[in-house]
Amino acid sequence: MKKRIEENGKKNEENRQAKAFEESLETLLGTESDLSNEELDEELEACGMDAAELKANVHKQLFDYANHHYRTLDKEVPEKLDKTLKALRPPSAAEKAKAVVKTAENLVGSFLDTARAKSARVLNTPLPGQTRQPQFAFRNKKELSAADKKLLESEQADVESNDE
Amino acid sequence: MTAAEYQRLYRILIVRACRALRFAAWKGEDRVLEGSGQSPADYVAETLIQWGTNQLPFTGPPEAVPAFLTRVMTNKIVSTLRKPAVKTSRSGKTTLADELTEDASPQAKPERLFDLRSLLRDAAFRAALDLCVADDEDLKEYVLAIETFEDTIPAAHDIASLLGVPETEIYNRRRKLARRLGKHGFTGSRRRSNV
Repeated sequence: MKKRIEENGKKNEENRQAKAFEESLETLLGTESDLSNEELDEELEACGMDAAELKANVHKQLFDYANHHYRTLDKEVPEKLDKTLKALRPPSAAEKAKAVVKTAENLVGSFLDTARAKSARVLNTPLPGQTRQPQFAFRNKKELSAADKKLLESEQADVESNDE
Repeated sequence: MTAAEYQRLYRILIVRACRALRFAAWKGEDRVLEGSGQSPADYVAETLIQWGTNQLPFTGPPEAVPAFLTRVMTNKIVSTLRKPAVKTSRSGKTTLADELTEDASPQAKPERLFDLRSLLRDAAFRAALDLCVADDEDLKEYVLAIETFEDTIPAAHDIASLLGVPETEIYNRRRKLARRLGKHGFTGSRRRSNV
């Protein structure tokens, strides 16, 4: 009886400290469940942890446990453990290769989209104003056609009328 | 629960384990971390095994599972950190008390390890925290605001109203601080425990 009371007291103290510890963590850094999956991954990355290696480590421990306590004894793996194992299973070599191809395809696709967008922008850009002026249009012309001469004459007349 | 929900549960647990061990690393560096002997992955695996094999009594809705398991795992970490009889070598192997040579480093009292006030007063933790916020006035202000609440654990809205900023800004600062603490603080503990 006395031993049980002591154990309960110890357990309560542990719970109290765990609660205080949890409060400290959450007050300073916030609650993990408020973060998106991407933000959780970013935080692991900031810690310098290899997220894939960590996950593989956890999966291996679960896998070994399931083998040792269930599969080798010809027992069915409990549903929740089985689901967790499936969810955390690291990708196979074929899946990894597929993911690499998919990433490459996305990169090439995005590169082509950017190139297309840029070339469309260049083609749609109007010429700078000065190139539309007659002096630029005629600067390298050696022989003038009748239409050119007519245009130049009208421009000259325009300039002269402005001078007056 | 779906596969995506299990994956999210795993992510939440592993980030909590990393945060907790990171804090423990700073708080009483000579004692606490070396007493752990378990990596973040070990704590997550142990918790998921207990959950997966129905060893944990839980009757709430599925959406409450992450919070429940996070609490269970934090309890485990606290429980391990309280054990005086188990220490860990720097390579992360568990060493029993009778195999240890006498350690003259000052023993921090366990009850002081997990309280926010004493954590903020701890020299090692404070040095790491100051390093993280040194070039960021918003983060400095955030830490100062937490310290202002002497007797209570402030909620995000308390800190927001003290600083006169929207509550979302407090969440943003917490995220930033968490990433910075991760970057500056986990190297030491990673040396000691296996990932």
